[in-house]
Amino acid sequence: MTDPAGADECLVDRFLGGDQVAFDRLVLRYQDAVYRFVLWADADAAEDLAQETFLAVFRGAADWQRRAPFRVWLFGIARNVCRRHRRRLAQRGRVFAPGTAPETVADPSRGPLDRLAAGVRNTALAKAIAALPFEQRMALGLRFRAGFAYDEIAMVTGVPIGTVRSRLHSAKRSLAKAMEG
Amino acid sequence: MTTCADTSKRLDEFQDDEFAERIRALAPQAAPQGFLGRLRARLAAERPGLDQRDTAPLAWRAADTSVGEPPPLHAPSPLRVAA
Repeated sequence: MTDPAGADECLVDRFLGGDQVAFDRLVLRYQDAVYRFVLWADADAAEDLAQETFLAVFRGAADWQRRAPFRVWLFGIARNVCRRHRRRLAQRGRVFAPGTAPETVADPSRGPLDRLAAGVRNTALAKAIAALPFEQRMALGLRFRAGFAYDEIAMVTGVPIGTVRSRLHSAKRSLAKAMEG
Repeated sequence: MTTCADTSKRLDEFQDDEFAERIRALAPQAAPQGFLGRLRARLAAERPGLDQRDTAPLAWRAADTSVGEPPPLHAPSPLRVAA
């Protein structure tokens, strides 16, 4: 059964009322998902980007318009943080370097050859993801790392749902090709 | 050689669940240890008075040893003590 007092929006209300523990609970609830999401923006700066996201929540909670669920607002902030980071890198003449490190989950039940084959497949997939255009990569992250529905991705990214479908279709097509090669 | 039809077929086979599973295997699943503590430290640095206000509950301060122990909330002012 859902605890209404523990719902995201209630925690924001409690935080705005001065309850810092409510803010902690929001961070603990979303830190892994936000971290996984921003990892694709820049693996080296992922923790910093995730923290920037929660700092923005802390600063902006009082001004949150509540037109969408909290997590939509949260990931919208995360995406904006990633976009700003990308612009800053470009201004410094640095290449935007998405996370490519294929840190595979070890599966001890599989033999060494199986694990090696899985590692090779994961490396190919990670490289293919890194090569995707930024907006496709963000859409993919929202879908498969944050578990968003298409209409939620549309809200986060501020584009029509058809554009979301198109981006995800293109991304999956590119990845499928890479996995075949 | 890979044809368009092959790619489309492969794409159809790429169900979202399967896709999600493969992507999950690519990267760490959790934020680094101590993420919340470092976030609190940044918040405290940004707003030095934050944990001295009534808006900061005891649990926050008790859990956060990285920013030092705040003064008592109702400590007498130094001027009043001097008088």
